[in-house]
Amino acid sequence: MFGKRKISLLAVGLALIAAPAMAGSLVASNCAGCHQSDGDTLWGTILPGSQTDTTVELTTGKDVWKVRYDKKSILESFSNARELPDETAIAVTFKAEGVGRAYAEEISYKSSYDFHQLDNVITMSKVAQLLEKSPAEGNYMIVDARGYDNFIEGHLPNAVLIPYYEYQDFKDRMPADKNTLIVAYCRGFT
Amino acid sequence: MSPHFARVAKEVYGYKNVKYMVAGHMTWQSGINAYYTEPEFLKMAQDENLAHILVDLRSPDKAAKEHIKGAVSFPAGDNLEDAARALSKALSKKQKKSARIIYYSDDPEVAERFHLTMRANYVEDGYILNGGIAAWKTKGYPVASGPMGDKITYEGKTTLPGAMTIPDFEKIARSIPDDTVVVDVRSPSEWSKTGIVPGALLIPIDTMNRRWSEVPKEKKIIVHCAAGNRALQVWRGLKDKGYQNVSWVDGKLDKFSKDILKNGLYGKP
Repeated sequence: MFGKRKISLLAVGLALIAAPAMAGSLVASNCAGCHQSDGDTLWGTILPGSQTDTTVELTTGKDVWKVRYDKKSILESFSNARELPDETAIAVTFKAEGVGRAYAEEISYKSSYDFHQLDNVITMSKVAQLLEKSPAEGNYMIVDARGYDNFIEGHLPNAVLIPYYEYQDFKDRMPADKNTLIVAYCRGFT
Repeated sequence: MSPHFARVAKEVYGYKNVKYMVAGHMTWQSGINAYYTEPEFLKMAQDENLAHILVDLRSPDKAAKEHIKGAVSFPAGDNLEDAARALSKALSKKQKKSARIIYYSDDPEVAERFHLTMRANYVEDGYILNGGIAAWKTKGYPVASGPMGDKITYEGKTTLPGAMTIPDFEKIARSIPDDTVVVDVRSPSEWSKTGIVPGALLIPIDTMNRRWSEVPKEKKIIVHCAAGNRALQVWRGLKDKGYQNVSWVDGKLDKFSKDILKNGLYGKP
């Protein structure tokens, strides 16, 4: 529990090495499905550990942008970048301040509420049907997104623990096949 | 929590087929469904004197030879329905309603069917020990031998270690004493939605890994979230880090007096 810092630090290191110093791309590939750049907005995820009181680094997968913010920046539903978890998907309306550097006029992020859509939901009876087969036979994975103490007290059959708040440390539990049906559950919608 | 994970799995890691079960584990558990507990929890229940009833479903011979300490013997035998009826007769009305009952066998299917029979006919809760006695032994936990009884006792605490009730938390939250720090581990969007306890230290659980040091070690710490799950995890993290005086609020913030929660830094409620 909260004890795997080595792994996250290593991930930070790799991300830094992998990212070239020159920043050019504005949209991360996973965001590009829905968002196109208008030239004024960066779309990407927060580089782990980069959150400070005045800056946050955004990676598009290809490039890293160091984004500065201050009291005049509009922060949507948060007050300080340190409140946002690593790898949060964010959008930054920006002014360029040199290579790979930007000033944020506005930063917004996606909360779990934005993902609460019918398409993303599975019913309990469907889950019960899935459980009639083994995860290997049915190509599914049940993820208990709560924490260790909740999980050991009680969990669904075949469930695998991946606490939502430290998923970076549990990446290795995810299946290699990106088409595997992933079913997450917690206490109920929160 | 699970929508958050589902979003990350899809948008950050690129999984194409991601869903989440809105109903959650509580609704699952309240239906007639298989529900598993881990050996680590049973060990903690023994060590912390947490009330539970442990039922060994194997044959009397096997059970006498080797069983988990504190278990009672109710062999499932050839007729599961009869065995379930025998166990139900040994349970009091109150135990049937609220006791934490844990079953184990060396055949997972027997344990699951027995649990479902009990749930469908007699009791309102129940757990299957994941992996049975074999998993228990794999963890290095001790086994006992000798004759076992079928007389059921249900003694000990019924609240989890470190748990604080909502009414107790309310008393403190109305005016936080100098020696106490309240830590709110919800997310910024929840803070703005419901308001915050004035003076609370605001650290979302998913940023906690980098912010432990902001929680003062010499004070009494009370961790709260919206329903108790996240607070329990942070409680565990603080205990592991050597914090002495920590509690977590076990209950829903909905039940909390609305007049205590204030806007703080965050717009409405």
